[in-house]
Amino acid sequence: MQLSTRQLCFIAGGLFPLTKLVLLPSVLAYHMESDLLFPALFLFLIEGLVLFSVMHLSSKTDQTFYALVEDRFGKVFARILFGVYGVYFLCSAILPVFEQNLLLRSAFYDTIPSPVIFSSFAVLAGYFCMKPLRCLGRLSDVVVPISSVSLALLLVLSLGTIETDGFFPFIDFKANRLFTASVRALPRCLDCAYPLFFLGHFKHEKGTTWKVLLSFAVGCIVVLFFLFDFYCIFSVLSPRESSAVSKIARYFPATATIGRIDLILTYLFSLGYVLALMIPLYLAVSCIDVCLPFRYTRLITSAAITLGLFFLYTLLQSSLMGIDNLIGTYGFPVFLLFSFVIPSLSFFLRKTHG
Amino acid sequence: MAKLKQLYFWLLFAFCAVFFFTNDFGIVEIQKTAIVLGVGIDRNGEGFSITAQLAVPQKSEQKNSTDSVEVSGVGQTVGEALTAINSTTGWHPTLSFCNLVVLGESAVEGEIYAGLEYFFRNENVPDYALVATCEGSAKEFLSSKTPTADMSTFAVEKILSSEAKRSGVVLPLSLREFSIDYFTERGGYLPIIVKKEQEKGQGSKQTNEQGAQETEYLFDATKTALFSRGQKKGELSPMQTLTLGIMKNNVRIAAFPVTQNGIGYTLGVRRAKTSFSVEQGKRIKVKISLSASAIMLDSDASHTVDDISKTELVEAPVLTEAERAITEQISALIDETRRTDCDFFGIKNLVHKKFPRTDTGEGFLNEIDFSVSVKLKNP
Repeated sequence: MQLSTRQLCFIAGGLFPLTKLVLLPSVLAYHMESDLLFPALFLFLIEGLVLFSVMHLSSKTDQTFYALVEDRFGKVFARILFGVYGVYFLCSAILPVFEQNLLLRSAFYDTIPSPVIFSSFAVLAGYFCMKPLRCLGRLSDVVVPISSVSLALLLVLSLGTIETDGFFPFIDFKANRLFTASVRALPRCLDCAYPLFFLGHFKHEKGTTWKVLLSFAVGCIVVLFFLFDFYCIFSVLSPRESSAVSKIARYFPATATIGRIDLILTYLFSLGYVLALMIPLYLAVSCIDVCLPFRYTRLITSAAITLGLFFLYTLLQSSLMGIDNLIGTYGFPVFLLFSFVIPSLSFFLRKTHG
Repeated sequence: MAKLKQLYFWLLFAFCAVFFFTNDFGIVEIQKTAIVLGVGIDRNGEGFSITAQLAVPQKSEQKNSTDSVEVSGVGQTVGEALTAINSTTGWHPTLSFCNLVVLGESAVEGEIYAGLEYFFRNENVPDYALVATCEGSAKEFLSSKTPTADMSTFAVEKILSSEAKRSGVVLPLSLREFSIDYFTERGGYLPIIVKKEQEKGQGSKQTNEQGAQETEYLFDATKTALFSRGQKKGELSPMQTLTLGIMKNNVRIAAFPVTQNGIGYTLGVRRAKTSFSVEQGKRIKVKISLSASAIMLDSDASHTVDDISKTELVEAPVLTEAERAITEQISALIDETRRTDCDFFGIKNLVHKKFPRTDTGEGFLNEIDFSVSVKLKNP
């Protein structure tokens, strides 16, 4: 088995929340103001249900998702489904990759850097996509504790700046905006589908389901607290504050004396963030490799991803808002289908023995 | 296959490395970079005049380690004026180290945020930069010499530091905090920096390159300007500023003067806790309660050794008089908040939380009945 329960828990609780800490807080604040916790909670509950469904499926079978689909619907359908999922994961990774670009540019650069600087991530992603799944587990063992501790310290440093005067949830609650906010937040909450593709690669032991769900819940609670912390610091300015995670701790009084120590923590946080970004890219390569099982498929797909990321950075670096609008407006039904509906329904793929 | 993977990896690495190491990294030559430490904003007809105080490192060990240069630019907007600095000097102003934005008298006469918006939009300007207003023009203010620091910007940062804030005498505000007050229509306030010419005999005056003596100034920020809907509506006196500082800023120890039976005392007010309670009857009633401990710092009468040794104990009549004086100042603050509609107490948010259907628009503060309760005790 390539992943252990511990590594699954690290991924669910330590990596899944990281992609929700960059642009998501400002997006939610724009639509819901001080009620920004509600769409987040709503999406986390749905993600939790999907995750429960997938983990429950893993308790009933040792087969991979591909084997389950092939048994039920045939090889051709399974390959088509995986090919579509491969393209889906590639497309769903675009927005988080641009958010990472935004985070690193705003946190670590005073001038606008050349987009070529980010080609190192493209190389790393392409290389990582060629490695077996156990590399993800091993990397999470190293990176998740580092990024988790750094995130915790960032939150601690920000506590002194919180002012709850402007935070009054429920009072101006606008139910009609809850749906819009959830739709715009959805592109950052697609992690629940990933464990479906880990099926067959980890051994389901007693309590695995609850351990993974508990880890996921802890991660969600941290994100909800982060959203509360963020809004209490920036209040009505929140919609403007992209790259939230790099900004919350910079008002810590000691930074005026000893310098921006919060940037060290942001740097350590970004280690985990990079790994979290590579998961959908890895799954895309794996799905396409299954769909087109030729000798060099994985190699060619990884190379294509590297070059694709490279050109994305150089040509579309300034287009984050346009891409966010496009994906947020038109991607909703696609995300709903592939990240929520199909993983939930996959539970019925298990073989029932009469 | 493994060898092919390795070959692919190294080819790709070489491809990206060529691009990576042949790009310019976004670096600007240091000689062409002007490190802006403070910015002054004045209105100039229909546009703005910006004065940037630039840090200039010194080569000689005999002179000050840091000298400053003031460079001005004019434009219809603040951004245009800053760009004009680049075009006239060849220096590219870097605002990443800008810790002070000063608005001259002309800049606060109209809509105040028109001058500040550039700094709020620009991601490179740290939003923890201090914002203040000054008497006269910001250009003259930044050009002033002061004996307390090498540059006027550093001197202002000292008097508006977090330590000064904890003493209650000043109400410093960052760009972020002022922007929140402005956009929540709470109003907002800014410290007013006043130049005081240094009295003769307090130290030698600086001599400029032509041998003429330059006047040095000390800066005072104990007065506060009040804003409502982007317009300046009033000012707080130093005593009112001190009282508001005690109420809001979690002071470590604030020196509060009291006169009782013709004797002047200076009490150290600390551990101040302010609470607001809101009730609704025919009118909304807000009760402001301040509780704090006070110690004796000094008095203008002589005392016995026994009395002096009991430093922390304040006599009951003096405490009572201090409570009365603080109550009087809080009442004056209430009058100011009503008159200017500048909600520096945050009453509107409190009422909105408790009674969401109440309209807290313009003039709302005049419809509230305030009561004040001050309790001082010995530690």
